[in-house]
Amino acid sequence: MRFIHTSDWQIGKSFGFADDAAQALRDERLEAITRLGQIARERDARCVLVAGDVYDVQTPSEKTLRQPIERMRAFPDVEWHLIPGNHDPHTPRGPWERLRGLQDAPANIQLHLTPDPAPILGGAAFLLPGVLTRQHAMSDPTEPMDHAATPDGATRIGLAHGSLIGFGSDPASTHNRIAYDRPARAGLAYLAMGDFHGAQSHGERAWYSGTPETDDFGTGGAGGGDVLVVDADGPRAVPRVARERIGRFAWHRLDATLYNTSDLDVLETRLRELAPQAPGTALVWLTVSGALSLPELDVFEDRIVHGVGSALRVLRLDRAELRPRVSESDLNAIDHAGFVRTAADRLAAVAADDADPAHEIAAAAMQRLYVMSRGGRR
Amino acid sequence: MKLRTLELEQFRKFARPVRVAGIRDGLNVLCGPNEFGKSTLLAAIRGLLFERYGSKADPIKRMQCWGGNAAPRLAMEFEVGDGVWRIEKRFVHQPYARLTAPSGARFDNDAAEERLQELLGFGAAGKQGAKLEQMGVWGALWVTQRDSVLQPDLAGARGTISGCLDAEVGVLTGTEKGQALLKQVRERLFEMVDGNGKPKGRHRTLNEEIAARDKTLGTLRDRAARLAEDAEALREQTRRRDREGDPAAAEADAAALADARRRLEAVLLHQRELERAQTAHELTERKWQDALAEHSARCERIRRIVESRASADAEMRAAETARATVAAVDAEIERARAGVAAAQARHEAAGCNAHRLRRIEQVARERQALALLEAALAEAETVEERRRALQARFDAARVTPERIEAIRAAVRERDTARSALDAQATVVAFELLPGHEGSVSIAGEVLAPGRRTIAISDEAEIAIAGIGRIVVSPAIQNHVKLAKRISAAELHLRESLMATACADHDAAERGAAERSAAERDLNDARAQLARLVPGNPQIGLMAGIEALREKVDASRRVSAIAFVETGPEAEDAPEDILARVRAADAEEDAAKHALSSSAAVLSGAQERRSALHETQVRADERVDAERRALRRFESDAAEADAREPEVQLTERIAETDCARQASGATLAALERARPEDTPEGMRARVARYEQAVKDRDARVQRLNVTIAEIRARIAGEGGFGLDEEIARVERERDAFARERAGIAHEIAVLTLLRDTLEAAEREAKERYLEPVVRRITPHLQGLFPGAEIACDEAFRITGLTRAIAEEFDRLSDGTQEQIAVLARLAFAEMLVDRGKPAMVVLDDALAYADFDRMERMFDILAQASRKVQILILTCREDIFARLGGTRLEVKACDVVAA
Repeated sequence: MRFIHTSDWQIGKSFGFADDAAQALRDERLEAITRLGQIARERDARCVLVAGDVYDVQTPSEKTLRQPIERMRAFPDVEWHLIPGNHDPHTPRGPWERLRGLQDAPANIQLHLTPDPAPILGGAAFLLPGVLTRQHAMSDPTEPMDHAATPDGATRIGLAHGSLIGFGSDPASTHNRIAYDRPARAGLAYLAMGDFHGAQSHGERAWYSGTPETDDFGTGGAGGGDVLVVDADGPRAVPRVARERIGRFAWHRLDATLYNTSDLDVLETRLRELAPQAPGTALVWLTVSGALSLPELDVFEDRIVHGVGSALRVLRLDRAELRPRVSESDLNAIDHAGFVRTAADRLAAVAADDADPAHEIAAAAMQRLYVMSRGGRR
Repeated sequence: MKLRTLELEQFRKFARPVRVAGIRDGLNVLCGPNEFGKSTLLAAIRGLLFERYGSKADPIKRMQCWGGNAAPRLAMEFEVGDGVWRIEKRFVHQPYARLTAPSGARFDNDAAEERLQELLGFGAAGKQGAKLEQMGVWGALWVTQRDSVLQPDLAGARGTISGCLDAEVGVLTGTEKGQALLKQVRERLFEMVDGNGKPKGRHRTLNEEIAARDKTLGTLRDRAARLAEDAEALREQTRRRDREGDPAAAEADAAALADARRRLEAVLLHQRELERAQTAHELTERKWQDALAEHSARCERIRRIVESRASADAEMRAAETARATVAAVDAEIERARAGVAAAQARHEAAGCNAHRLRRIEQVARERQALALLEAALAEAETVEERRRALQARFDAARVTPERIEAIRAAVRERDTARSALDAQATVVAFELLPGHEGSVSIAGEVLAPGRRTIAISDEAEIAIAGIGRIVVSPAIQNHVKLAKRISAAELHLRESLMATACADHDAAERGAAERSAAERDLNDARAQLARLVPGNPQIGLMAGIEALREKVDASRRVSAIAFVETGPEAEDAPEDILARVRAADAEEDAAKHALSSSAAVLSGAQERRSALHETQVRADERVDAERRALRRFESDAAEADAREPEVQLTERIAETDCARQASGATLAALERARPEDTPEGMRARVARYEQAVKDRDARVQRLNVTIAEIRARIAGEGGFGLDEEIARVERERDAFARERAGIAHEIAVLTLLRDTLEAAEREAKERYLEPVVRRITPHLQGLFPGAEIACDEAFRITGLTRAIAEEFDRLSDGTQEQIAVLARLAFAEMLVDRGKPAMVVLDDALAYADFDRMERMFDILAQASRKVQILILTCREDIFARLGGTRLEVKACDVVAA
């Protein structure tokens, strides 16, 4: 028996930091559903288990509510099994109650809003859903699985959303916690989990699929953008899990230390090589450190910030540790003498003094003076 | 540079050649009045140095001597370096220029001018003549009249001064580039913030956008919060509805109600028994109290009867005492009335006597006054007699002042003319021997023997008997005229004398003296009369003897009538009569005093009688009242005893006391048996449970309604998509906020850049100007101790700081002028220090300085002149005498130049 494990679609996520890229990122999460359906067909896995957080909020707009449904409708030959997550728990007026009330809900979509076991793929296995009715549930949503009655010899597949105790979860967190030995206790062939956005396994039978379209620089695990194709060949057989890439956008967190022009060249090459054919699919959080001369800083501004920055979908830059390295010739380029030179010397001194709270502003002012004195206006 | 000599010819007012020589190092002062030509000398120096010899410009034409067309010629000797140079120029006609170097080398015409420019550091004049900017430092250091108030114009000198400063503090570079950079930075800043630092343009728009979104977010979040509250309320109401609908709870409520009802019955029963016992006890208590009250009333009544009897007796005694006292006082009143009548009679008699004596005194005083008037009249009559005699004498005198004055004038005229004649008279001396008497006569007069000298003014004939005649004809100028003056005067004298009836001048003088004496006496008599009869407005007497006569007559008539009335007593002295009047007044006062004493005695007795009578009446009334009360008490006591004899009353008290104690014991027993529940508490509990049971279904219904309402409200609020809307607005807000943060960073960067550039520029300027300030400051502090100045880049003084900072333009003209002179001295010193040629010329400067300032300025000038040659042209010789220095003079000389 083969099925697809996915989770954390978080349809409607805002991406407030990304400015003009935000809409593209939101749209791409819907496209990912379509790609999921396609993979399901290609891999002949006619069942998709979605381990919670289909929606990003509890009260999505009507359009947001229906958009993923319509994507799934396009694959009538695939079963889609959905449970609530901590972002979209099953509450009296939550999205699930609304979906349940839809007049024209597609038959291939099953909402699991109680812990009752349900057959999948025509009874080839039984799905044991963990249902969150609150954003922060104090009890383990997988506990009912231990007592869930299924026919003897049935393959029991758990589907839940939460943090596995003692494995990556915040020790201070006391809600939505899942017992690490749940697969053994509940006799599960496989526990399909959602909540962590990077794919990772916990033992042979417990997996987080991660989000299909990465949504953060710090996702952890495999970083997101994956889907799991799972083969479960019997109630006690060890499932075979294949991770397949499905995400379009690549989120990169990079560090670079810059001391000269060749460092700049290397950095530019690195950035451009991230997605040479489709630089618009790369989002980069770049932290630069080191020290550059004023002309080099000008080059950095020109080639990295403005050049590469325009190519990438997002270039987020941390440059607090990138200092100007002011040489005599840089200062001479501003002026050899006179009060402009005096001002440049002073700014350089402040910029070089890390203890001075104004040193960053002074560095920027210094750089600006350099550029302006050479006829530029950046 | 040091000026040594200056020569001018055919230059403006100096037509003839003049020379100023002996100009020495240090201070030189040339004094001269207004229009002396001091300013012309300065004009000559400037013209000689700066104007082109061959120029046809207006300034050259103006050099020409007034009213002439001759060629102006100028020459000057000056020291630069170690030697003396000489420059000569001739303008307009056959112009030339010649410069002779200390070595003897000569430069002619253009070469001379070029060498001179090089030597003294100025530029060639243009076609319109030399302008200030071509004069180099000299335009600033040589101050023409009226310009001394202005600061030195450094149009032509800035380069030189900057050169000095560059050598001293280094080049001030980057000014232009820095200004351009600053301009760019300020412009960029101004795109984001206005002059007051307020956001503008995109910056402002961002603020508005963010504020608008914050507001929207507030609204949206409120809505979300309301929805959350409604959701929580829905949960709570649902929970309550489920609890209310629980059947076990309903059964428990019914059991509690039954128990409450039973306990209420019990507590009510006990309460009724208690109330009955209380009523019975109250009744027995009241009966016992009634019996005790009756007993007390009887005791009280007996006490009042005894009191009333004693009281009535006392009041009766008081009334009798009062009655006896009234009779005694009545006798006293009668005696007092007789005393008053006697005192009144004595007072009236005393009053009549005093009035009569006052009338007598008045008549006596009138008689006394009449006697005085009569005496005065008698004396006045005597004087009047004398005055009349004197008036007659005066009227008879004919020599009036006019007449005697005419006589005196005629005598003077005659004597004057005669003196003039006599002065030219021929003096003839005779000595006739004895024995020849009668033999010689002159003008018909026979000479006596002996010596005699005769002055002859008219032709006179000397006849010598027997011998013949000698005619003497004195040669007198104007003889005829003088003779006529004399005879006219004599005629006039005779006529005047005739008018006075005097024989001659002496008689007339005597007559005049007599008339004056008569006039004096007459005036004396008049004055004496006026003193004797001056009049007296107080008694209606006018001045003059007639008025006095009439007054005396009238007074005599009145006095006679009064005397008949008063009798001979009025003849006594008024003072005696007055003594009698005073005695009568004293008697009257004594009588009056006795009268008021008697009246007071009477009034006191009457008041006492009235009070005593009142006392007696009141006492009688009280006796009556007490007797009435006594009768009432006695009848009440008799009535009570008839109703219930005393023995029966004592028995009644004992019986009722017994009954009272029994009912009290019953009540106390019931109180002790009171149950713990209260009727109110039990009633409330019963009501509560009845209500609870009764309302249970209704409450469930109501909760269902409330739940439906909350659901409707949630549906009405919508709320689907609200989180997304909040996220969307937050996204927009954050995007704007990021942009604004970028602008804030940009502003911080540019502000720091601007401030740093401005500070560096300011400091550079201050450093650059420091040498100028340093040189001016000692002089300035000589004038204003402790003061400081501020300079701008053009070396202009912009401000003075004494106690406070003051703008230069707001200082007084005098102070501005003094500082402007100091600045010139400082520039000159600085130039000299740097080996540049410099000297100062002040033309009529320091016009506004007061004494103290002038003294200080002189000190400063003297100090500066140790280094710099100073030439002062002034019209104020008196003041500048104190300055010292070399005195210069403008002297005529030979022809200037060749």
